[in-house]
Amino acid sequence: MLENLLMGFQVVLQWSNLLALLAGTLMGYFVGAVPGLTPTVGIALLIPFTFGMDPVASIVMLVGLYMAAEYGGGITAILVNAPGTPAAAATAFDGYPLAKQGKAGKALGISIISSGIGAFVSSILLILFAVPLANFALQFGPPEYFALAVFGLSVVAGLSAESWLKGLLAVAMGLLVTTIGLDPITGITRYTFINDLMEGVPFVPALIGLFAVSEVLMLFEETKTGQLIIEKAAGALPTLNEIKSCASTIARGIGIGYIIGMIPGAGATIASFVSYNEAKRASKNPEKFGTGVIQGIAASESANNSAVAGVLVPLLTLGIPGSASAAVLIGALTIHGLQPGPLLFTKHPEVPYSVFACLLIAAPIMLSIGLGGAKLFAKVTLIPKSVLASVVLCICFLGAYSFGNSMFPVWVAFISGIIGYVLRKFGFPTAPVVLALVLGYMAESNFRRALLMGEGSYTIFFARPLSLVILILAVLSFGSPFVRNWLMRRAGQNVRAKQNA
Amino acid sequence: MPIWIGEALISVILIVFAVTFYIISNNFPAAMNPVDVGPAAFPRLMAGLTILLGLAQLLMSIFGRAKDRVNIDNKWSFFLSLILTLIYLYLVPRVGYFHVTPIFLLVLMLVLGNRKWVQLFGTALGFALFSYYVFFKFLQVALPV
Repeated sequence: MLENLLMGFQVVLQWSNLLALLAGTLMGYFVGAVPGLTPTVGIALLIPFTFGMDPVASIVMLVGLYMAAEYGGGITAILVNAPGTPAAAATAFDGYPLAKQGKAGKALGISIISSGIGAFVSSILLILFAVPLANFALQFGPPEYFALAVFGLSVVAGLSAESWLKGLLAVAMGLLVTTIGLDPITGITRYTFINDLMEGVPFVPALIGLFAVSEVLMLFEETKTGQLIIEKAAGALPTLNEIKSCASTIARGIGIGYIIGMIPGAGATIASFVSYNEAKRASKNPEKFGTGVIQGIAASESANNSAVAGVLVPLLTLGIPGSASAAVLIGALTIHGLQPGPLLFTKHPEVPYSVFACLLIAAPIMLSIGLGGAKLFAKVTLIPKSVLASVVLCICFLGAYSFGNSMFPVWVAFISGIIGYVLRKFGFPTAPVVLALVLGYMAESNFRRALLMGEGSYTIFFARPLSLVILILAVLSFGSPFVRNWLMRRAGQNVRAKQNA
Repeated sequence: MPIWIGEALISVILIVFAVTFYIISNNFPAAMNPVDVGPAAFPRLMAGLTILLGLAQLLMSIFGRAKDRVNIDNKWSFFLSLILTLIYLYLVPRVGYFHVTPIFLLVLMLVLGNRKWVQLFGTALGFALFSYYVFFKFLQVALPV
């Protein structure tokens, strides 16, 4: 393996391949940063340009784009509360409040450092454990996927800062919306009043609306006649002590991101939300999450970048795409006459080991560009709000239009924006809605498939050990904020009783 | 507006939304496989959950009556910006993206209080060029023209 890895480095370090990697990384930053342009779209757009390229150069460029795009989404999530990728939604929870405090540089710095470390360490995990972990991922069937969806939804309690009831209501609403479209098992249409709804409410435009457009509507209120710059940008990067304080969070995020990323269909979005929730649970001050806590940013970013390496596990070892982006990557490999799977390691070892080498080299490149650009990116907060609100709104609509090449996703983004604005005004969290939109289809389709597998018996969810373990974790995850609050109230009462005595 | 009224209104709207979904689900055909719960099961479950939670929130809002108020600052510019955006979205497919967008940007920034002509025209023109070269030409996004 070491020999093959050294060969991979030799291949990637050739000038042409290094340039391809750099080009892919820069393109990835742009694609990731623009709401509506997902890594999948970026990879798909770049494939035609790779037709005439060497197979290794093209794969290296696409993988570089994929990795940088997952970080790029965090830039706009932090600066303007407009996550460029769904997986960056959790980054916005603490990233944007921190940027509003004038610490955009710190937020961006923690984001890129967590992403870089996450990408690098998960790449090592990929090299060492790809094959045995791929077999673990294959054990996931419909009951396990349903349990995973429930586990993902269980983080809602942690996302509902003010009121768990409002959070649950938001989740229920989101899950109801996911039933619009074609039924996943029978294929009949449900609530499709117009043809555009046949595929359901498109998730990415809804995410753009709930986060970015609602934020712009908030900015519409804040701009006043004659008001120009509101905040001074603080481009200062995080200190070494601040980075050290995120060490355990990043380590946890890497583990969560890698494992969840490995499960086909799970993806970076679920990984980032779960990692955020776990960081909040492990924190001594969970109530501060959502106000600009750097551990919140570190949790989300380390997980979503580690998920990239996780996604490559089933892709390279078994030829199974773990995400839409991975499916497009398979297309890229096929175009160059390469078939991903076990035989790729024997017939064309230079390809997978070049990918491994590319990931290890891309992480520091991404880190350098990100850190170097952080102070520049942070200057976005100096832009007058009238300009920022207008431009961000147009970018949102442009991104939404690019998603579906029609006005329908744009209207979805606008209407979701109004809904998100109203919900936020009255203290209803929007993050649980996003969570529900991500997981609703997965939950329903796998629930019903599992019942078909179990011939109608619900015991299938509890008879399979992996499914049972995940469901127990889901219950614990959901209940832990309430237990913690109860324990803290009791501790407070005991302290007051002692003081009175 | 007192926050509790807004909370109550949102709860009522969600309950009505859920009830509508539930009623419509009665028209879904039953599953052909007896083991499958059918296409109506999940929507009904979620609708039921939404109704229950909505009622709980409604009661909590009414009996809690939180004293905080929710206001919209700069009402005039806020609603005008919203109407402008609606008009913009209506006109884009009919008039063309590159004709409408620079004008929309210009007018929106004026409504939001910007009076610096360099910023106004620079932003409008710059964004139009950006979307033309990056999205229309390079990314081949078929924007309405």
